[in-house]
Amino acid sequence: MPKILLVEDNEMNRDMLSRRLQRKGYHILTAESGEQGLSLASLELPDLILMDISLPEMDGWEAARRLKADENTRGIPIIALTARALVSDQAKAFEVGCDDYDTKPVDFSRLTEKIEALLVEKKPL
Amino acid sequence: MGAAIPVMHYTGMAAAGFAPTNEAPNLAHAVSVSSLGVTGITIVTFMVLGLAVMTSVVDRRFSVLESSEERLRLIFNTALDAVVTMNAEGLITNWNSEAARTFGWSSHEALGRRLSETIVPRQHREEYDRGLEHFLKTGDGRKLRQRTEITALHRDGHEFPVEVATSPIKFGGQWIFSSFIRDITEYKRAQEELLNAKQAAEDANRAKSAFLANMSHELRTPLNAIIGYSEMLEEETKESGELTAVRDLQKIQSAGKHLLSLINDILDLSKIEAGKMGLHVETFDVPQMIEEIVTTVQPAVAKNGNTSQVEVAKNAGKMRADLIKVRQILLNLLSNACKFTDHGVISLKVDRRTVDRQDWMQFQVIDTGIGITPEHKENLFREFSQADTSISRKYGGTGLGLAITRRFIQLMHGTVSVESKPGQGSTFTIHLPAELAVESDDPQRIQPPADIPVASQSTREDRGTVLVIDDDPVVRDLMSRSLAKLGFRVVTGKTGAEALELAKKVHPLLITLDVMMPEVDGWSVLKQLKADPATAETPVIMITIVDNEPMGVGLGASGYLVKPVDRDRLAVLVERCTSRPAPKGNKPKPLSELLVHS
Repeated sequence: MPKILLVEDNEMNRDMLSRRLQRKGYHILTAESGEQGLSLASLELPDLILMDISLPEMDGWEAARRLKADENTRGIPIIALTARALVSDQAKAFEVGCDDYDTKPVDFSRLTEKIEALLVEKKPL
Repeated sequence: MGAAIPVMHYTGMAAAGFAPTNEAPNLAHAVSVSSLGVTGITIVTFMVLGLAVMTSVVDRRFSVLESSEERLRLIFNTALDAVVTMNAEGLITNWNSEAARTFGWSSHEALGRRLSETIVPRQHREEYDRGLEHFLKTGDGRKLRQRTEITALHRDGHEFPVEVATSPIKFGGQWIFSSFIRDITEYKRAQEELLNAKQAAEDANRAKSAFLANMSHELRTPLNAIIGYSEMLEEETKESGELTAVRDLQKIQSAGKHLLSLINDILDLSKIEAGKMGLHVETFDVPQMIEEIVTTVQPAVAKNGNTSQVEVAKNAGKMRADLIKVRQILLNLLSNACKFTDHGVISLKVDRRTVDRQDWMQFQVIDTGIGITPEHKENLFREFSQADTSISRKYGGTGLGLAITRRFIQLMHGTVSVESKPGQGSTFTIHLPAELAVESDDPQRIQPPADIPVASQSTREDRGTVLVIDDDPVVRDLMSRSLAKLGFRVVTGKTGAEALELAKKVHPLLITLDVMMPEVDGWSVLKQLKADPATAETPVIMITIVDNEPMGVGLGASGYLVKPVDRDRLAVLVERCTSRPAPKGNKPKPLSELLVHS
């Protein structure tokens, strides 16, 4: 069962997303802040990370950057979740090293498609 | 009648002196003597009468003149405006009662005084006198034959605003200047109160809009939870097979989504009104955007049994604009088309054209639906004015979509038009510049606050800062806009003191300085600017109401302009003073209706 780390500070969003993903068959870990996300990622080494960008203190961009800089976590695909749908946000996501991005409020089926696409890539050959 | 008198006279005399005698009078002798007398008396009487008549005629003429003069004098003195006349030497030659009341000088005291020394405030006297001189020399009088508002001086030293209308009159080879002056202190006060009230109302409205704009996050978060959870519950319930529950949950979801779209619309409009709607300009691929949009509206198209058609020109290419807004506009028009069409065709056509060396994108949304009546067409883009309440009940929708669409198009310097035949369908045509000239990464204030020294929106080419000093806010605003169009950033100030302070703080490329200002007048400000090494090098253009070139140049001004300022002359002078070439046409010009083909 693929392990997904969800980094999201809003309680309801976190709850909704994690439960729906669990029902889809993923094992979900959650973190409420960038810091917590970083430490959980190093500890648990999930198969994929869903990173909310608007986090308190350390924002999602910074967290993503650090995850990609750390050789332990570099290989974990990250999907950035942004509140704005700007092309520049999309560009920034790739700039910091994210593998994909999606907008909130989340279109669940679209998101699961993206998750699947990245998990397939990651599967060892 | 003249003849009657000597006749009566003679008859009387004859009667008096006539005594019956025995001797028959010598009739012939009597007759000749009488004739002479009669003639003489007649002549004298005629002369006396004539004189009397002449005198009475002359008298009557005089009295007519007197009464006419008296009447004019009455008019003059009962006028509720001050009526003042001045001769070519600048001396007061007429001064009515109202003038005495207005300025505090009796006519006895005022007559013969220099007008400028009597009612013109000290700091403006020189300019006034020069104006008179200039007119006498050249016949050019900018303040004559029109109403102007200036500051006047009362005898007791206080200054007050007046409206003046002066007519120059050539009379007997001499110039006379006749002025009607009105004290407008009260009027000005009322005006200011009105302006304050208007400002307060606008401020309140803006505050309200700003509040709403800030509420956006607060409003959307719980709503997203409602939609999200009901979606989730729907998924879970579907599995359990409880169809009623599933339908109920779908209803919650759909109500939530409808509410969300209402809130989004209201917040969008408030943001626009609060001047907080920014443009996030980016470059994007038009065909790709169209493809995404068409995919998104498919369900709406299918809902009423419609079919869709898309035509994207081969040269559509890339567009530089606010993608989110363009998408929102097209989705709004398409969803309207779908809503009001049943088993018809919804077409989307995209074209790219060049007009006047500028590229424009044309988007057309065409439907074969119920159409729009001419009366409704008028209110189409107004808030909350969906055609009528029966329609909104039948077709749903917030009635805000088109209002927002129109505002977005305005923000992006585009145009929108609609053609429709009730019962046959409608065509909405939008033109947007293919390259939006205003760029920003951050939301830009579309309505900068007035009055306070503020830099205008920067255009693509920043040619430097110009400092505009004028006590009249209308002039400040006009100058700012003209200069901004030329590519300058503008900082404004109201007084001479601000001029000096801002000049040192902002280090402008150029200063425009109004000559007539309260407290310190422009000329002395110019002197001070030139005296201070920090500001001496900055070119200064004087804005004056009277041609004053020799004086200006003598004090170090780099040029002068006469009010009202002619925009082209301003451009020429500014160019000369800043010696930088002007860019060729930055902003796209507004498109005429010519582009809309039938």
